[in-house]
Amino acid sequence: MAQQASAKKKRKKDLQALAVFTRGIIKENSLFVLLLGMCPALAVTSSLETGLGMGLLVIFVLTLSNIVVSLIRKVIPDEIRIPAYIVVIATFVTIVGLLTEAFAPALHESLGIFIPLIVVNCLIMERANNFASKNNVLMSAIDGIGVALGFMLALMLIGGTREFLATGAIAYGIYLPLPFEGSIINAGLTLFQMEVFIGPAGGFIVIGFWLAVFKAIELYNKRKKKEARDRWIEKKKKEAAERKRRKAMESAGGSA
Amino acid sequence: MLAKLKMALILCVIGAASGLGIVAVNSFTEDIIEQNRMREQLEIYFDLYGLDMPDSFDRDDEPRDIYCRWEAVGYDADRNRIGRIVTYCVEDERVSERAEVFDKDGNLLGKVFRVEHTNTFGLVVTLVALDTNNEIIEVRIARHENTPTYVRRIIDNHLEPFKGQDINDVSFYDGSTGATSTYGSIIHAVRATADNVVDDRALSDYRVFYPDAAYYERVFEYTLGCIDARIAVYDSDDELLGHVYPAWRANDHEEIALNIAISEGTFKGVRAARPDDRASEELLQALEKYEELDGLPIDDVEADFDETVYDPTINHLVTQAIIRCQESDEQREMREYFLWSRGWDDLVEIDHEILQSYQAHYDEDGDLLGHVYHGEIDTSGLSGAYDGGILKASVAVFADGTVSSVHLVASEESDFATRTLEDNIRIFFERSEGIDKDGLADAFSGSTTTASAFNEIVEAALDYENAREGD
Repeated sequence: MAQQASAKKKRKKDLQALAVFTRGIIKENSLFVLLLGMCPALAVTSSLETGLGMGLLVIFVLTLSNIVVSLIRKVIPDEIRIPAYIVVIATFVTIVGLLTEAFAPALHESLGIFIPLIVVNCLIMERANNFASKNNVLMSAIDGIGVALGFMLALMLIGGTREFLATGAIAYGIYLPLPFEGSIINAGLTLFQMEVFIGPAGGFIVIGFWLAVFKAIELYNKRKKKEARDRWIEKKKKEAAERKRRKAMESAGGSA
Repeated sequence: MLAKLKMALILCVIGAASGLGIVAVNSFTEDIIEQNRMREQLEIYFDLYGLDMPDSFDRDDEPRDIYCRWEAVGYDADRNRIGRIVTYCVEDERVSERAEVFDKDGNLLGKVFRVEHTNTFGLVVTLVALDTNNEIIEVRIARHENTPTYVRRIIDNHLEPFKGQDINDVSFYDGSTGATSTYGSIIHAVRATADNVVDDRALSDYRVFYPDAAYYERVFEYTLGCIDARIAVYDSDDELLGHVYPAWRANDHEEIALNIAISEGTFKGVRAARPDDRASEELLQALEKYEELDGLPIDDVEADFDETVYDPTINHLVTQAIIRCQESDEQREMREYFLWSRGWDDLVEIDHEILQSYQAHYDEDGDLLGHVYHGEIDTSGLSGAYDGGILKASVAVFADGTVSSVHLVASEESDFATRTLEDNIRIFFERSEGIDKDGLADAFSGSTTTASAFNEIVEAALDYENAREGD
């Protein structure tokens, strides 16, 4: 009995961890749903690879800062919570900057000022303040990875779209230290060579487009849920009416 | 109070831990970052000149002079020397670095200019590699932040034509490249390189006179006459080594371009400017005779001309350089009005609508050369397009009523209008001296308010001089 309870508790924890992990990827995607981290999303997504690179850096910073914030959450007084978190985040940003310059110099060159600017990415501060400071280390780490992964996928989606629309191709191996380089797609059609998508205006257009898509999906899911719920209510109402009718007939038969 | 101290302590601990972490990572990555930069540079430079890729390299941070940044030697797997690069800082802010590449035997293969330019889409780092004849070996994009596919388009289609072109006479692609911004950065890089090659070549020419020359400065530009400029040459400790006077004149056979060096009353020599590609055999032979004058006091140099048979054109140019090196700043300024001006009266103020003052100039015999007139005009309200403002000019008029020189002293007009006028003045006086009123009308006629106002001052000066002649 005790074993069953323990297994149930473990399963519940696993499910909770999975929920925390997946929540940040789609359901509460930081970029498309919560609209956090828009600045890098506009600035460094001129190609898929730069989006991927920035996403990887954010995974590193967000996960580690979440872990450290969770570790020190009980010793940090409320009054100095924010400056303490900023110091922690800034430390990891500096470290990630140095590591990138050492091991992925092309990416470091490409992202330029946006690496130090990760420190003011409101997504990281939001997770530190709203999640890591209230949860244990494991859950904070899972949350960091999940949310940052969602952010990275969003950046890749925007970067890939912009690069493809602007150039008709999606190149790889240019910025990241991959052992190969080339193009994933090369449409070779002038239709796809719309330079506007490389510039800031293109960034806004593409983000707007994907926001609309995500919103449409969200609304569709809400409608589906509402319909399912309505159907369920309808069904329950019918069942209740049937039960009532049957009860009435039974009572009428009894009295007869 | 205790709570505040606790907070401060916590912040201090977090800050210290943070600092320690950063220091640790920095000490771990510092060498790797430096090695990355060095290796990348070495590999690209070696590749440009067809050298093998180095397996390892040694870096020497002891600069040969203050303009040398560092040098590195690349080795193969057996520690045999493959090549060497020496990098230099460049005065021109457009060029971030100049590197000389040597083969395993120490022969200079060429120079690479590294130009960093930021266009609309980000940074483009371009390398322009030249051989020892200043022909382009390759133009290569070393690093960029532009869209990869656009950059690929430029690399595939528009860099190859640069190969083999003379850096001083490069023709660019005159059409749509499909990546205008990136190609614009390439053009910027090639032009910056060309400018630096000229400077570099000039410095090489000056090192014939001053072997320790590190840089030079054009301290005075002559408008009139055969001497172009007075150039001060310095060593790496900013010590003035002497002056060089680039001179130009056409004789019966050719256009002669010379550099004449004089340092503290000593004649350092006269040599052909850019001897490799501008000087004829005859000129080089003629100049050999002058080498025996090197190191003489300048007074003896002129005396020597009388006794020995030299080329009269070269004699003239050397004499002119010697005259100019003995001039005071004021004499130098006055020569800008009349080439042969040796004496002048004080300024005389006059009551005139446009002209404020004039000054008489005399030659070395005391004969009147002419007058310099200083005038100004207010262009406000003359044109609807600009607000206008005060335009000041000086006009030097020979006694026979022709113009020796004109100078725009000040202009409150738009930068564009002022620059256009200055260019017109320079171009016109490069062609001729002693222009009369009709000639001037052709030269500076124009619809712009600035040119019209300038013309009015010149015409007022000419009228005043003519009226004086009548008197």
